[in-house]
Amino acid sequence: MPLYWANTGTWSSTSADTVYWVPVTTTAYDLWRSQGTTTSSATADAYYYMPQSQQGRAVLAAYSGLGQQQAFRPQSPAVMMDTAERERIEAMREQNAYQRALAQHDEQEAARVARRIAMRGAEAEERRRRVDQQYAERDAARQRANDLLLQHLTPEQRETFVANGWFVVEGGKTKTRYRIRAVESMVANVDVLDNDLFRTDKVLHRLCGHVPTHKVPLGDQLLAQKMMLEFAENDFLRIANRHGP
Amino acid sequence: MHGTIGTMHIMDTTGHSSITWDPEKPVEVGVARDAFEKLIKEGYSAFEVEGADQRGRRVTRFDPSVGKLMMVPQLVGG
Repeated sequence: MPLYWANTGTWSSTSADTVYWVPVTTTAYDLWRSQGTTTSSATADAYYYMPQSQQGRAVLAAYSGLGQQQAFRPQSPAVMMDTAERERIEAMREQNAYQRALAQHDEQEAARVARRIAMRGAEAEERRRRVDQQYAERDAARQRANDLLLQHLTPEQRETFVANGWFVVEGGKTKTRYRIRAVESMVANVDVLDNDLFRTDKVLHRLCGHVPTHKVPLGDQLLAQKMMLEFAENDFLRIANRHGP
Repeated sequence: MHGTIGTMHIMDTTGHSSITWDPEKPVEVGVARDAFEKLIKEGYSAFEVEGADQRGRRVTRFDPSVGKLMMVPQLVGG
């Protein structure tokens, strides 16, 4: 598969789980299609959460906006590789350069390339160590948040949360029943339930109000929503956006 | 309850951080109070929680005799 090197942006990722971003320009009106996923803004954050490409590589078709948000024209595509493959390709190039230098009896060049190979290996190792550390910290934070949430659920809430990933709380003011669902995106995860006598749990509408997702892990998100609904319900209802059932 | 160690759980990127204080130790109370007021200024909501049934209420002033405080960052509509 040929590589297309569009423009000369400056963003790249050090995380092994994200793609290495072949630099292209991005604007709010660029549309990116890759493996069926589209996003209207190709920022570093948008690509951090993209799923792993198959075989470490994905063709990214780029389209730039024509001034109207629904109309786009094709631009130069870019290829995304994951960090491991990028390192493998670069290591292969360095090895080839080293072999060429040896074949040409250019000891100075061979030594230079050998130093570069060693340095690159050390940098890659350091990157891997940092990534492993980031993941360990993230996992620890998620566990701490989950533990805190479980400590603050009633036995009934804990049971439904563990079994189904949701729990029901009662609004402190209105006594409305709300089902809080554990959804990573936190989009409209609060169901407003019908207070009918038979407890059919019909969803009247959904509410979307949460701590900005980068600030706290999921367990804290859910606990924050629980606290607000139970002890500051009016404030939550004022902040949250309403979505259909 | 007189003499009970107070705990403030602060939701953050680590899951949560905690500050504890002995109500009879002014320095510890001062540290907890300063943290409380700083977080309130940053838009946090504070909730006093107690009991196995998780009864609670929102609070806006630091009370050193409180057993447990939960500090919740500001929510936004989505």
